[in-house]
Amino acid sequence: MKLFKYFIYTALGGSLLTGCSKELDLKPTDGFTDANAFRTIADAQLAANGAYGRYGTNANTIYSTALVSDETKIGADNAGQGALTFRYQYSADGTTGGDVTAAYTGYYQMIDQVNRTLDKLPTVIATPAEEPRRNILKGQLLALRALAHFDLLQLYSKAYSANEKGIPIMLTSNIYAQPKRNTMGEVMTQIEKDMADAFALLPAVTPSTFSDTVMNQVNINAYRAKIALFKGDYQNAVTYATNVISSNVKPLASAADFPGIWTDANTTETLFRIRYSTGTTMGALWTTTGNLVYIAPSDKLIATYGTGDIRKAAYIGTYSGTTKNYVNKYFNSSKGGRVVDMKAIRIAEVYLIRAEAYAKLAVPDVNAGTNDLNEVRSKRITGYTNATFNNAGDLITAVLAERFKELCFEGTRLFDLKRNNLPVSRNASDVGSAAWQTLPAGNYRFVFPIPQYELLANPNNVQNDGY
Amino acid sequence: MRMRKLLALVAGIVLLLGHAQAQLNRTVTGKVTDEKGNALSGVTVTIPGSDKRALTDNGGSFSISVTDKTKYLKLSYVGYNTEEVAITGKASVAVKMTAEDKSLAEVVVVGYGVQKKKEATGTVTTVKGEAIAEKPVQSFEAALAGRAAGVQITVPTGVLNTPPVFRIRGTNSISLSSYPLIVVDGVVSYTGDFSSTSAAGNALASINPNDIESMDIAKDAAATAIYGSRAANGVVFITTKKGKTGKAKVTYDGWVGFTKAYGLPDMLNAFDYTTYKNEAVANALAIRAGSVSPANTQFALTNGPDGKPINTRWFDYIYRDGFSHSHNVNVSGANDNTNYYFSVGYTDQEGIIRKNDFKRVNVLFNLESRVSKSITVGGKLSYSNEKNLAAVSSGSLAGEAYGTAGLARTGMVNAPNISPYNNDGSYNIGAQYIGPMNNVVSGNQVGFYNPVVLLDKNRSNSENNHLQSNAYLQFKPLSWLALKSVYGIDYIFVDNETFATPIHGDGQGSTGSASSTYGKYKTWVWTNTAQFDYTIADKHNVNLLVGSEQQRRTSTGFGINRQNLSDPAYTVLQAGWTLNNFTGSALGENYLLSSFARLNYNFDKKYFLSGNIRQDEYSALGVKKGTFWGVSAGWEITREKFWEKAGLDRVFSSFKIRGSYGKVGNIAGIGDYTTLSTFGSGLYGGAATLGFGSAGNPSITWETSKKTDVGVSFGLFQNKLTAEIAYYNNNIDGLVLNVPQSPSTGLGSIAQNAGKMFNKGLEITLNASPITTKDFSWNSSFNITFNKNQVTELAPGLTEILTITGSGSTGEFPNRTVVGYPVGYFYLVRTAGVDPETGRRIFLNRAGTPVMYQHIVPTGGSNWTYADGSPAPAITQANDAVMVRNSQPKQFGGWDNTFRYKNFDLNVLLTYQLDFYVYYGTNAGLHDQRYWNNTTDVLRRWKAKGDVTDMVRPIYGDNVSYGNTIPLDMNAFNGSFMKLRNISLGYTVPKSLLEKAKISSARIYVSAQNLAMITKYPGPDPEVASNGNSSTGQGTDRNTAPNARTITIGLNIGF
Repeated sequence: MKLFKYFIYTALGGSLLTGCSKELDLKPTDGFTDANAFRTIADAQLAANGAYGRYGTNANTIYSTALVSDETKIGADNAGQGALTFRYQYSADGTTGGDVTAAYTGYYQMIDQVNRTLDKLPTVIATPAEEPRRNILKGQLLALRALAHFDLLQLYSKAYSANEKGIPIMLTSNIYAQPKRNTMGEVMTQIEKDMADAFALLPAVTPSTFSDTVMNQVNINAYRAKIALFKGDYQNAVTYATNVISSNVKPLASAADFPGIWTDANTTETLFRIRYSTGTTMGALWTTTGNLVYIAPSDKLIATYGTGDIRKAAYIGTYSGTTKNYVNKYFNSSKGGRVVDMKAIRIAEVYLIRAEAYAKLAVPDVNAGTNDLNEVRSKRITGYTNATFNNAGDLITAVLAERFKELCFEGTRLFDLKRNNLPVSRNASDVGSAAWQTLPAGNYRFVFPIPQYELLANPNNVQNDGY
Repeated sequence: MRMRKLLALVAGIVLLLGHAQAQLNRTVTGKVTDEKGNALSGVTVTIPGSDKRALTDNGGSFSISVTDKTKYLKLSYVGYNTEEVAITGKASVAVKMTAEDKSLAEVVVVGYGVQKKKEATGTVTTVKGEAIAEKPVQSFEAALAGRAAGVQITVPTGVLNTPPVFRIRGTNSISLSSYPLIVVDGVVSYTGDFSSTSAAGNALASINPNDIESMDIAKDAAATAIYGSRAANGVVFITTKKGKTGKAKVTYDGWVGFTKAYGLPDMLNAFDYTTYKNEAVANALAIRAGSVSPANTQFALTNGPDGKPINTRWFDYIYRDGFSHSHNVNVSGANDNTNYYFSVGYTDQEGIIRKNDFKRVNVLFNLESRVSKSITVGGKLSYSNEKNLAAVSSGSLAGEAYGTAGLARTGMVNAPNISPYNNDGSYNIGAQYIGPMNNVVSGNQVGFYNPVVLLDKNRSNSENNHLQSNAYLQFKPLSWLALKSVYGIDYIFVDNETFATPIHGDGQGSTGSASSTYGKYKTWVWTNTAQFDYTIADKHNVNLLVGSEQQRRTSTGFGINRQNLSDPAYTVLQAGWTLNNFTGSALGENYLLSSFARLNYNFDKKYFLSGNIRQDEYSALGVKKGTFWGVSAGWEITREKFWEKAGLDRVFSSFKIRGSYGKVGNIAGIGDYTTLSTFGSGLYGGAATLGFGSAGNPSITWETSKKTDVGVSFGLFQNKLTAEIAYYNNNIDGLVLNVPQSPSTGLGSIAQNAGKMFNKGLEITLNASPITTKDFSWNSSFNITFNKNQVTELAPGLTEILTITGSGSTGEFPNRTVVGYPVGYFYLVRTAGVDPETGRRIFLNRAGTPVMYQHIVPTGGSNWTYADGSPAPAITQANDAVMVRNSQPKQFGGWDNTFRYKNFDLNVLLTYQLDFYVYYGTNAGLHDQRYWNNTTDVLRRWKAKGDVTDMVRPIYGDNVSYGNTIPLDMNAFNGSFMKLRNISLGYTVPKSLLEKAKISSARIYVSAQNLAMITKYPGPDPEVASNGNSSTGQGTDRNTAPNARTITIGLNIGF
């Protein structure tokens, strides 16, 4: 009987005791959870790195807007990549609208990463020596949040008008949120506030302390200039642009240095860039590592470069022995084929922003604008002689043409046309059918559709007109 | 002290005296006969409580010496009921032994024990091991089709060792697994495909079908509730063989098999292809000059090395006639205290696809020994090594449908007027795809990859080492109490190994690629039970089981992928490569802690009650703890007096009514950390990051199935005909769905318990022995299941679930799951034939208005026009598809017949699935008007005004008219089929011929699988599943390799 009891106790009791309920709380060891992801300021730094990485979504913006504008044509080896987008056949549906809706998810993922980090930032542990990092990280994160909201506004809203439909402002992380769309004015106010707060939190920058891989006072001002131009606040655009230019952290590149920008040999002009150490995210959008040209530069673009324009060789490549052109801006670097950094904003753009803003001031300053334009052109065109303009309108036209040449494949062309209420006019040789040769000014397709799955999951959101 | 010694002495004497008294002997003699009075020899006669025994002689007589105290003798004989005979005052006895009623002895496995089938009130169908042994399958469940009501098995493709689609009483989940729980000798087994290469690796293939004693399929809540949160899809208990009483038996089973693909489409030959494609080009150019580029596009024959035009049937290079062989040897035996079964098996099977092989070596050792009166120890050692080999993707496993390397697809797409070899014998390889030879076409593409290169050079193998073992100790302190402790393991170690040549195919882009990944999947389970069996006042039979169990599962995976081969002559991972990537990373763990109980009660074997309850706590859930239960009741009416009075007993040999209700769960497929929001590490510009990964749901829990089951079973005419009829209704609640969240939140979707669905139906099983004579017998078993499935609720924000066939950016979505329809219904665009006037395909938009399509139109024209020629909006699936076809069989089952004539036996198994459609997506590709090869159907194409045909006017480049871009109803075909699944003829060699060779038994047989089929389905086989076991993607056939027809010749010998 003793044996019997012993058996019972070991077998039944024993198993119940060792089968402890504590064992039921299992946590992954190859990743962190909400509970243990943020402990020290170093973790917050890692999370900020993650937020920077998520600005890689801008590659999609560059790609999708290039497909819709007149920068590109369908490449020789294209097997359907981007074709529906190029032909203006995109919709809100994931199957046909993947190119134009992906950024919506991407930027909000970035915003969520920022908001999660901002939420934990005040409580992570930092040594007294590390303590200043807390505000620096906060400033950087706020600037990134503003940047993501701004890019969303450019993609999914019309040309700026304060009362038009904007995009939802997201300032906290909430997985069950069903936000409504704020007006463009409300979003703009938030963007400006985040940028201003960021600027105030970050330390002053000198040419020697400047880094183009993090948000700082200089590139924040560059974006503030760009945002002001978008908003139509030309005086502020001039002011912010002037701040950037006079900081002198990044002067315009010499003709010798210029091609090296596009092979990551130097960073002479970049104010902010997203780094790719092995990824082909930027480069393979246009041409694969196997040299299949999916998306080629348009004939229209190539024809704009005059003789002596050093940009043609830097931007446009041609496979030897063929007439197959390819986008050379993101083609090669010492890190490998198609492994090239994304240039998010450059000093040349700041000059051109200021030139346009001068021309659009209530009282246009055509001379000052002309000087900025000539400054850029003289660096790009061998033997350039300065141009003069009789009126602001001519200057604006010239600046936009210059932006087309200078900033192609940098995600600005479609927004420039939209901002100025101009059509997309492609060359006949760049299209397979007249049906997609022109996108009339103000057409609803300038405003990309809100993804269908957002509308399904969020009854408070509304679709853009026309979709 | 003295006193004590004295007492001890007295006691000793008394005991001795008593002992001496017991020694007083007398002899009892007896004669034992059967019911007919024939003498029975070899009957064991024992004295209860003593070691003494005697055997009856040839005349049935025995003699045994007994003491005065002996009141009974016990007589036992195999196949007869054990008799107890009173001998008080008798010197001789005559005993008539009655043959055992086999149906009374039949048991079913019910989880943590067995129960007499007669007393079971849950719905359990037993399939004997013999039914599936000797079959040329890789795993047992592939041979289960048609053998049990409620069980639906679909063999998805001819790729070896692909897990069959296995459903019990319909599809019971949407995003979790619908696969039943498989319990092998008391240990829950892994299921599914454990290979991560193009060779399938079904985890259940480790069990040699020849080693299986029985498969008990538990279907209702009463029978399954003992497995609680894992029981919703049904539970299949696999019991492996044990040694049987008698001297050691050695058995050899072996077969050789010949296998062949069937139902391959009839493709155009080189001559017809060339003419036809040129006509399509000419038609396009006639509509609009310059519409085909390059301007000199032309299809042309090329002469081969023999000077004659090349005419390639690509199937000849891809498929083969496979040869397989299989051998098993087992040794088994048992005496009163110990039984053992030892088996070794080897099988080497060649699939119908070249280089697709399955090789298994397995060893099984079952041992049980009663070491003392009350203690039994036992255990099982099982080891299996399975090699799943393939060269390259077949395009037939889930997710592979659209792969450009997919062999089945390549065979249909590649142009027949080119050869895999150039005339100098070298491979025909173009820049990216197979070279065009004399054809001049855009991109120089007249096919995908050259399959011969990939078959020669590439590997995509997976090797499983699988251990399934257990050890147990049982203690029976009292006749009515058994305590048992079982510790079991199930370990799978998977070694995946691939190589892709740099010269051509998938490996070309990366200048070669090789990978090796290793996965470790380990389960241990420790179960402790106590079982009480008690009979009160002869009529109240009570059986109580209580137990506890804990199970831990861990998974680990790691590996490397290497690219950029330095010299194409290398073929292994360890050779010269320049790029290394970590791959195959996996790390997971879960823990399940349970306690359970079962109470069975019956009164006089007339009224039956049972209750099962289990409490599970599972680590992966938010709400971890749940209680599951099932109750059932039964009534054996034949034992009632009124039944006899009414004379019904002369018709019904048995008649039982039973019913059950209960609640069980499903957790199969819930990720280990679904409850947690996780952050992962990544790299940004070379710097480490911490990025938000996925949002967890802290309240996620099991899916709940509430199952109702009502049934009758009865036997007629001394059980010559028996029938089991059951109605079931399974209401599933809290289906785990990935509910998309607003992308504005920055998240994708969150798993939530949201949806609802039901399966209800009727199962009928009829068993009959219409003829039983000495020389000839016919046994027949027929079953049919009627099932109705319907989704009744999805989640807010989730109105439809479209299931991809293919993967990622390449794929189509024929299956759609919405409320009010069965899961995975076909959502297709309707068509209305070909316009005889213009030869264009007529589509119907959602409103039902005809819209015609022409791929090339004059400048300014519209591809889509209404009948009056005015432009129409393009037809799309999103805008114009309707819910048109049912993908789930409404009836399925089988009819199994065994005939015996003297020494010959013939088994014929027919299986069928009825009233469903298969979306034959392959058919769209087979008529694609690009360079793709077509079937000979296109020879009846529209040529001139007034032609009435189903094949459109060919226009080069047209991939729309036949449904290659939009899934069309015309490619959904009635899939109803009846198959001659198995036919086998055996001959048992008479014993007289064997005795000299010291062989105790021998049987030779020839059998055929899938020999014939009745169906209207135009594809290779309507029994197909391009999406594998996907719950929502059933009934699609897209670029899937056909099934195999196999002939085997086999031999069983017993020594």
